Amino acid sequence: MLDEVLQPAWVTSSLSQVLLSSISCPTMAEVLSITGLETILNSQSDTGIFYTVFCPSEAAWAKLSDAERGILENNDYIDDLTNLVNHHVVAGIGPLPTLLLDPPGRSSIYPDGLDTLGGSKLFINRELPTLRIAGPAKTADLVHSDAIIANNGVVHIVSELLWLPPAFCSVNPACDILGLDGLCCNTVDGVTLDCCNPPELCVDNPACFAENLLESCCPTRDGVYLACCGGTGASDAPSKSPSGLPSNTPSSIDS
Amino acid sequence: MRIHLPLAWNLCLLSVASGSIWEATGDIPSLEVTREDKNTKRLRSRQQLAEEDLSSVAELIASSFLLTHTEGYVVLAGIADDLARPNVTFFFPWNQAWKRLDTELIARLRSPFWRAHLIDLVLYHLHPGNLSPEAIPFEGEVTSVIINMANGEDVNLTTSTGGHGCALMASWKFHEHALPTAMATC
Repeated sequence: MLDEVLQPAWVTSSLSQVLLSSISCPTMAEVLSITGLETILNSQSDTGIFYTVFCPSEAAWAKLSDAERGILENNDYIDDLTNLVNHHVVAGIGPLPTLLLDPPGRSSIYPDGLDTLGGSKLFINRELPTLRIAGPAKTADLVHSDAIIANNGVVHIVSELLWLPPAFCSVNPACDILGLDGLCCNTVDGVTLDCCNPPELCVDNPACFAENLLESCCPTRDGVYLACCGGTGASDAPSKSPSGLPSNTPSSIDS
Repeated sequence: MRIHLPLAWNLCLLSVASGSIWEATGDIPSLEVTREDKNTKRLRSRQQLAEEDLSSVAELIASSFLLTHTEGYVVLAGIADDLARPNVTFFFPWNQAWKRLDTELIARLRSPFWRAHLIDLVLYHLHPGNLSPEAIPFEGEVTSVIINMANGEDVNLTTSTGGHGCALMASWKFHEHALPTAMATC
């Protein structure tokens, strides 16, 4: 019988500390340091504000293209990197409980979504045996059922980056399907490519019209963006821009 | 199956103070055991405990009125099944130990938002193995053994002989921060 309660590491460790010492989230920890956001997650629990951090796994970060990684590592785009972190952090009166421990039977744990520090909403859907977290950019699976816990919140590891800068080609379906990489909306020169906001109707997209497609193409009624969206003609062929900061005039697009 | 718990460490025969956090709510979560209910909790001597054929750690907790807080947190954490398995060793913080915890920390641990934290804290007292006194090698008057707890962290278990018998000390080794050292005498 003990005359003191043994106190595990989290009792005296903040989210910043556990992230920095975690082997599961080294990239997120590095990004926190670069953006200076570690000070927020280092706030002591007596502030009454607690955080839930959705940490993209190392595999998720590895999915970034060289061009996207180059942008995020560029000091000129530090605001995008800061936003990226903020869109993965939820603040509130308490950390979210370990998600998989919630009572089963509810398909959506937080039906109104969770507000991130970046202003976006995250939706958690139970698709047993896993939980899926839907962010503005991608939907991710919970990688581990156990949360990393700290005295001012918890960290859940997810399989995807839930938010990416809206200018990235990969988060604009019509640009992505054309195989464009890096910045599209806008490019480094401030140009908005045609694929950024393609008109919905096929007839308004020259490449779709050239293929005699009718009705909705961008997206279709099923929400699918066809390869012709944002293109200018039937001969358009998708091509990737070179690695690093992308060109503002991809070969397949007339800007 | 009878398990060999370090029952020799359970001889802290002290009175029970009133005014616990559970009493404040009037609702003490309790383990469901077939052997006894909480109305039959009683003060036992080491010999009495050794003679009883308690089949699990869960039953042992449920049978002692010194452990009502531990029992309550085990129930809240939902890990009673872990304690009902054979061959586990659980270090019981007695009621007074829970009362010494920071009140804010206690309040959080009782919130559903902090359930993961509570589970981790309770599992920090559980060793997934049979750690009988005989299993600890004595090398002189003081012996230290690092054991892995069910939450994944280690504790340094120190046993010593001399003076009034033996002492068990569990100190937190994972981080450099100074934390209270838990000690039990027997």
